[in-house]
Amino acid sequence: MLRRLLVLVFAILAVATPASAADESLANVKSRGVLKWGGDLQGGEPYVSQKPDGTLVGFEVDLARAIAKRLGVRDEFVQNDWSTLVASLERGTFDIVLNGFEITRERVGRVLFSRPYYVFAERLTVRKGETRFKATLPDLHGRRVGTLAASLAYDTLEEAGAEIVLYEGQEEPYADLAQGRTDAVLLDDIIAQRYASRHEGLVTLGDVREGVYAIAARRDDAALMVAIDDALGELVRTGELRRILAKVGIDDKREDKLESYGHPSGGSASIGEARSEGPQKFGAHHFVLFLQGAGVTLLVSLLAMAIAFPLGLFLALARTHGARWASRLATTYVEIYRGTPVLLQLYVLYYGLAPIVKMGALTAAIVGLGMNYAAYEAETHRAGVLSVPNGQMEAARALGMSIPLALRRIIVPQALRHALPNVTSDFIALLKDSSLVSVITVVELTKRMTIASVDTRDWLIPGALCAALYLVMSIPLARIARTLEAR
Amino acid sequence: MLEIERVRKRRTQNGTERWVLDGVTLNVGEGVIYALLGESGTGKSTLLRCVSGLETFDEGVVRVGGSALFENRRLQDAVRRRVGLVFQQHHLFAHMTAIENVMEAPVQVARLSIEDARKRAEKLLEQLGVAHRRDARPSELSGGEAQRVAIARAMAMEPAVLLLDEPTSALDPARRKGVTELLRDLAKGGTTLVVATHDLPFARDVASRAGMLENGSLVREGTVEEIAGP
Repeated sequence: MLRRLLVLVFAILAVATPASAADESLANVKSRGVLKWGGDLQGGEPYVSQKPDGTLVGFEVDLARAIAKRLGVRDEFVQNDWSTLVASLERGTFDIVLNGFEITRERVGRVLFSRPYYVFAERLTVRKGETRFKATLPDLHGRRVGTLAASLAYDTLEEAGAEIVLYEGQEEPYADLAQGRTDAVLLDDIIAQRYASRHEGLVTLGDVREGVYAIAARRDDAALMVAIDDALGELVRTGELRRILAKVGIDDKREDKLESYGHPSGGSASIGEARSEGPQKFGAHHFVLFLQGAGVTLLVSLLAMAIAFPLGLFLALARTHGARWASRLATTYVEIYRGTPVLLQLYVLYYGLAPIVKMGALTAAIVGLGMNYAAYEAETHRAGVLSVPNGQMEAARALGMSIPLALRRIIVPQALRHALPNVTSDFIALLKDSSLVSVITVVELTKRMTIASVDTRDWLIPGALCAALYLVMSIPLARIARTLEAR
Repeated sequence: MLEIERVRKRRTQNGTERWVLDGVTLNVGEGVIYALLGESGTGKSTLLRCVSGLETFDEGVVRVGGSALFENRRLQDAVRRRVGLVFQQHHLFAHMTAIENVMEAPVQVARLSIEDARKRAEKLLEQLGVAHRRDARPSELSGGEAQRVAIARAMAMEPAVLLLDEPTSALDPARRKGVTELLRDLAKGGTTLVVATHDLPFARDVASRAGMLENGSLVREGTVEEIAGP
């Protein structure tokens, strides 16, 4: 499969090689004197990472420098979120992608690939003592396996019919595996070496298949790609590439293949056999997945609100009527939760507290959002409580009611009437904020949309459908809020 | 029944301290209607609020039926139930109907059964002439109706002492006469009443004893005629 894919890459490159007159990609880079390459520092060692003094290190930094040198320009790194590298490349944010970027079916045809600069294995990591399955494709069927979005491992797992758990960073899949939240992690051997080894209870089960990293350029930038490919070929021939890899300790026997991968005509498959499977069509099965995503969004939002509403009310009453210490505590809660990003709170709750609190991703999402929104509901409820005239409390007290009784019977019922329209608006905001829980592997509506967009290479239809589903959920709520306000 | 002894209350306003109540002493016997006279700002409302337990005071003692208010918390709650307060702006519970307002404290505080509380509330609303408005919300009641429901609400706890703050301010003359009769009936039934008012004709009609407050001190006591002239 890999060989066939490589053939396909070069077939496309070969067709594109007679650079059209309009292709000034190489000339532009040369006249600018800078080759801009995109990557994500979150990928970390040994790819590209930043030292405390700000300088960049990693084998891809050395590689970019060597290639730029051969083009007679200098190189410039551009930080970009890994999951949107292709989109940014197409927008022209940088000239090439050079960041552990695997040649996959979906990407071939969308971008131009160079010859590979690294051969890796997709490594299956498990907890010690795992005996239920082996490192083969059929054995992965139905297993809960963690990996990174838009990676070759993701394609592999999809093919194997595994239950895929998606992460944004390299550390989290292994942390979750160690916590017993998944059965295994399938990721590139370089990543497994660096990140799995930090967890004592994890071992390598075996390698499932091979893949390659290559440099990607825009589809129309054939002239630039030919030049880069030549430069890379020279680095392979002179052994400079192997020296760069050896420097960070990732040169292994597999890299012997780098030379032959550069000559697809020498391979066994003929060009005629190569055919692109192309992007998926957006169809009914996507629609069903979107509905499921909307269901998750609604579930997370409703349950989070079921926490936020009473907790917020409790906090509000502690602030307005509690003892001084209770009031201070409630104020501190509100300030902390409103003053820090909910994204950070979700990370801390799910990953940071994992050794102490065992919580599933969905539970963590609901609890995390619920506790965050409780801070906002506290403010909404407080405004509601303060809107009840003072005389109501005095009348209740004069009749011999205790403060808790007066709150329960007299103040809160009236405060809720004031607060309800705002609570409904807050719920609409919560519905949208719930998309943030995808960082802790919950696949809700927005995540479903980004996955489908990568699969179909189209943002328009999935985006429109996603928006429509959000509107279907939020418009009735907005109407309810208006009705409540009018009363 | 109600004994107020050398009550003083300090209040800080714009950085300066002053005594809003400066040694008030007065006694009101059982079944007596006592009129607390004086211009606004002389401390009438403050005194009522202190006696009903809504505000604390710095010195002195208030006794109801011989028990001192504010000696300890539990006693305070028990005694406070024996003192009813009708506010000038009546402060009916806005989210409840008239009869629910009257039933609320008997059910929640005195732990009466709902049926007993309803019977008591219906009887009071009947006596006060607002039984036909029992299911109306406070916002739907006229000033006079709201005033009567508020009195019924306070009376439902069967207080020994009922305090009323400017009960005639929202009423036309005809209604005022009705309130006069109502208060006389309550006094006849054994309730001690203290009425803070600056409505002299009303005080003359209703009260057998009166006191004049000036700058937080009781400056004169006697009948209304003795204090304010015929």
